[in-house]
Amino acid sequence: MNHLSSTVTDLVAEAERKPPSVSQRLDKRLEVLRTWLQEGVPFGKAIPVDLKAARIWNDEALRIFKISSPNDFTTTHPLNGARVRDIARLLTELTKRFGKPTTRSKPNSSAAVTKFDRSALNLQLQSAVSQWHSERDQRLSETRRAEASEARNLLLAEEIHEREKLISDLRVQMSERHVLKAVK
Amino acid sequence: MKFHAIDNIWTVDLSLLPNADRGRVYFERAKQVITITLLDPIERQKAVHRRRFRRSYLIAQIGAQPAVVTQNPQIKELLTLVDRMLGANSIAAAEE
Repeated sequence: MNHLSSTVTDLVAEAERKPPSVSQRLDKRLEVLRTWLQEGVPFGKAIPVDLKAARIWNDEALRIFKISSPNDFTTTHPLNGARVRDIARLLTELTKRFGKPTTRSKPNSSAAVTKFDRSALNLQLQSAVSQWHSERDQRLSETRRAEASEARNLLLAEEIHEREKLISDLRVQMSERHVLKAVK
Repeated sequence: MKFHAIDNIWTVDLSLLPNADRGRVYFERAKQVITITLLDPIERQKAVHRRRFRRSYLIAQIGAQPAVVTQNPQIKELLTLVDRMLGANSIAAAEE
């Protein structure tokens, strides 16, 4: 009797040590993914990005083991296909619910730029050249105007200087006359 | 609207959720942000100061009010766990 019970214990222990079958591994994946969908993804765990990632998923803490054969993990497999499809559906739902939406690239992205339009480029080039010419003309005319103003300023300064000299001469003359009158 | 009816935790209109479910959304966001941040060396540098996960970083990432990190019990527990983990890691690194 004692021998029999030890044999049974050994068998149970051996069954526990035995790696789970593909079917059990699929069931475990389904169970974990369903729980995650209901209760949220636990801290430190990541949702497998695709079916391949789900196949090679190995997490001892969750008791999920890798399925080595890709042939056992296809949506068209006669035995496992339905469960693989369920896994794919759950992955989609999980990603949809918990995944961070990626920001869409702006229409002005590299893809749009790669479509080269020569006529548009020529038009842009012409417009840039014309703008450059008009701005250069404007700058030259402003420079000329500034130079003319400077020359005129010099002339005016000279004129002012001469007039100031004249005024001071006249003042001197007036003061001399005034002195003469005082003596008188 | 309830948590189970949420289409996506990042795009959901939080004003439509009851407080408990809103807290749960923040918790789900926080778990994801912390997991991703700790795996990314550049983001980790921004998010971790000494042995502590920056609360301000988490708040900005999950789009919550500052009070969430002190009032949401699940997030509080999560941050305590993360800080303990970061402390243990830095001690282990120092010993090496």
